[in-house]
Amino acid sequence: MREKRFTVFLTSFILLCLVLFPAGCWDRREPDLLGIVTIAAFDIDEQSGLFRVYAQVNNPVGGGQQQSSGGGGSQGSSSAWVVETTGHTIYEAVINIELISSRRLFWSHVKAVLFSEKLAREGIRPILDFLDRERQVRLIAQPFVVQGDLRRLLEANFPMEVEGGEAMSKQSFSIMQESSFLSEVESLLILFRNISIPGIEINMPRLTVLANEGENEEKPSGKPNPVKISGIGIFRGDKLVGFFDEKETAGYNWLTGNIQRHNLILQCPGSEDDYMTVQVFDSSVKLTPEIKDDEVRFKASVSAEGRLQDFTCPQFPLEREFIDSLNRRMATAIRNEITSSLEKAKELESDIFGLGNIIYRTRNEDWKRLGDNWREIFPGIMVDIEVEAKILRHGLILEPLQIQ
Amino acid sequence: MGKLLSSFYLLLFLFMAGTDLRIYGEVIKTSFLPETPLVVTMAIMVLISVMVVFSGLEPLGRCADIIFPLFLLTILASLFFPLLYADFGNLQPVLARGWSPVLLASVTPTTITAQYTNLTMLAPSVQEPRKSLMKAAMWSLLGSSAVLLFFIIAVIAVLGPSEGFRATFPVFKMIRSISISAFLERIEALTIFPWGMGLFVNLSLNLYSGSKGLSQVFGLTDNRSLILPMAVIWVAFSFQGYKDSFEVLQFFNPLFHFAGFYFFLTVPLIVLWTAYLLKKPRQKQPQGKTKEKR
Repeated sequence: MREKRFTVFLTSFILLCLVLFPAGCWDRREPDLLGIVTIAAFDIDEQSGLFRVYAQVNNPVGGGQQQSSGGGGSQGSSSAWVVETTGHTIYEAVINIELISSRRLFWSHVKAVLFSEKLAREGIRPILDFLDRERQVRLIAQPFVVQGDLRRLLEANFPMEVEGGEAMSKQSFSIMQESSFLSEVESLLILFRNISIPGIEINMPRLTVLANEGENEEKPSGKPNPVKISGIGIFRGDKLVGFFDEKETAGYNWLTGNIQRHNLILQCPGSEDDYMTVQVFDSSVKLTPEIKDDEVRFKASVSAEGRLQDFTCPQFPLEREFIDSLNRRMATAIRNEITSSLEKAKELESDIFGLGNIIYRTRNEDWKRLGDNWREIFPGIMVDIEVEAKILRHGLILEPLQIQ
Repeated sequence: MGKLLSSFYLLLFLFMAGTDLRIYGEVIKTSFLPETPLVVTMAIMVLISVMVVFSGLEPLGRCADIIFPLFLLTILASLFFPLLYADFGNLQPVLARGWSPVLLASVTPTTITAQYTNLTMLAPSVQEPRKSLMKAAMWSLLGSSAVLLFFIIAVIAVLGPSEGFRATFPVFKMIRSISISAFLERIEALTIFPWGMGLFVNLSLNLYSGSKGLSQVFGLTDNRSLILPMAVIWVAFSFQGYKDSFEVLQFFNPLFHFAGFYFFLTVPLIVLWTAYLLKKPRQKQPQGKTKEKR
């Protein structure tokens, strides 16, 4: 009996002691000691050659949007605080931020990772290692290569949004849904996947800073959106070599099978001044390599299905020939996009389509022969493009409006 | 002679358990709690194992029974979600460099399967027919190999072969780098959770086998007096056995395993036969299932 009592006493004592522990870790860091970084941006300092790291930190005392504060715009009221430092390595620069920040920066919630054009042309390998090795940054962040001034971009206010990282990922998400002006590289994961497998070069969505000298002037409808996200930056190895514009990016997406929605503007048959829009809603691509000795050919069969979004041509004769001619026009438009994108890639000597990777995967024997100098072979390859395009739906009306 | 052989073999339990523990500690240290001393995470894990082993084999089995459904569910979930990001083309080309690298690499998991020698310690305590024990062992081996295989396929499909190869903790990295949707991301608890649970069962089993075996070698009637000292030695081993994370990585080098391949697989076979010969009936409740982690 006494023994039992003692056990009960001991257990309750231990349990009471344990109550002290759930209160938190001994070296806890409460949120009020952390500054949450939403955008990490990397640049290189021209004079010293050091890395420059920008961090956009959520400002807890900021009053959300500084909408009509006029000449204010002081750090205290902005929803984000932008800090920059330099260092020989990325981590040195990151640590240097701590020296000038009242809070310890917390990188786990980085939404977007920006590379300046200058840095990208020098090579992004040191940054990729940091992002991969450091435990806080996750590969779900979205990479962008930025044309324009980083600091201006980070300090810009987005209409409708509180913080920039969120705004950028929202913007690129809706672009990806509605058009094909971005590549499938929506997270660092895909970037790392592409850079580490043979026969494919990486690309990254391009982000252009629109904010210009008239930034402070207020329009009645509010500020313009500070960035445009469209096109992709083309890399060779880890170095940026050029950009694809919207049309060339669409060509890239056709060849890699990433078209989700895409709008084609076609001229009307018969009357060249009128246009119509066809939205592609389904597509597929098949790439087959044909290799004879050192001559590499690819056969690309693309099929696309679209629907009419608008149609301003004077007539819509419901005849097979007319519809076929529309289909042919659509096919030509698609072929043009693919060709222009291929030409540009060959010019930049960068196989971003992963054609080499297709050989590596399916024709490994040939790859052993060609792989070592694939970058020299790529500009010389031929791609036979076969497009099968169909317009399947004409919308809620058939006949164009006839004004009597 | 037999006792010498057995103590060699008991070293195996210590070694495996110590290595498992150290790897777990390294994961926690690298990815979650970089400032908590390594010994704290490891000691807590071992302390729980000690508690279970102290209570005997049946509580251990019951623990495994309770953990198993949760374990299975989280494992399946952490296999399913990455599929959204999988590109199975990454698996190609198959066998581009022939069979030799594959065979070489298979040495490591084969040697790790030596953990099944734990069964020889459980067999005497099991009252069910030997056939059903055999069946349970085979199914668990099949299951754990399948889980391992599916995870490897998922890692290659999601991260790509070389990126997966570079990762220190590939599955963990894979889970970290996917976001299922805007509101469901950062789900790495799904892999760490079952790992911790599986490791707990694994460690307790190793501790049980080790202490039981040692008590037999020394002719003790009760293995409980050995548990605590063994646990202490064990934590010390996993702490001192590897200088740094680079040495832990060396453990997975197939060349390291070639010696172990013969030692850990042929010697236990002999021991298994002797164990059958020396089998003594125990007055314990039947408990057949063993769950292996990974």
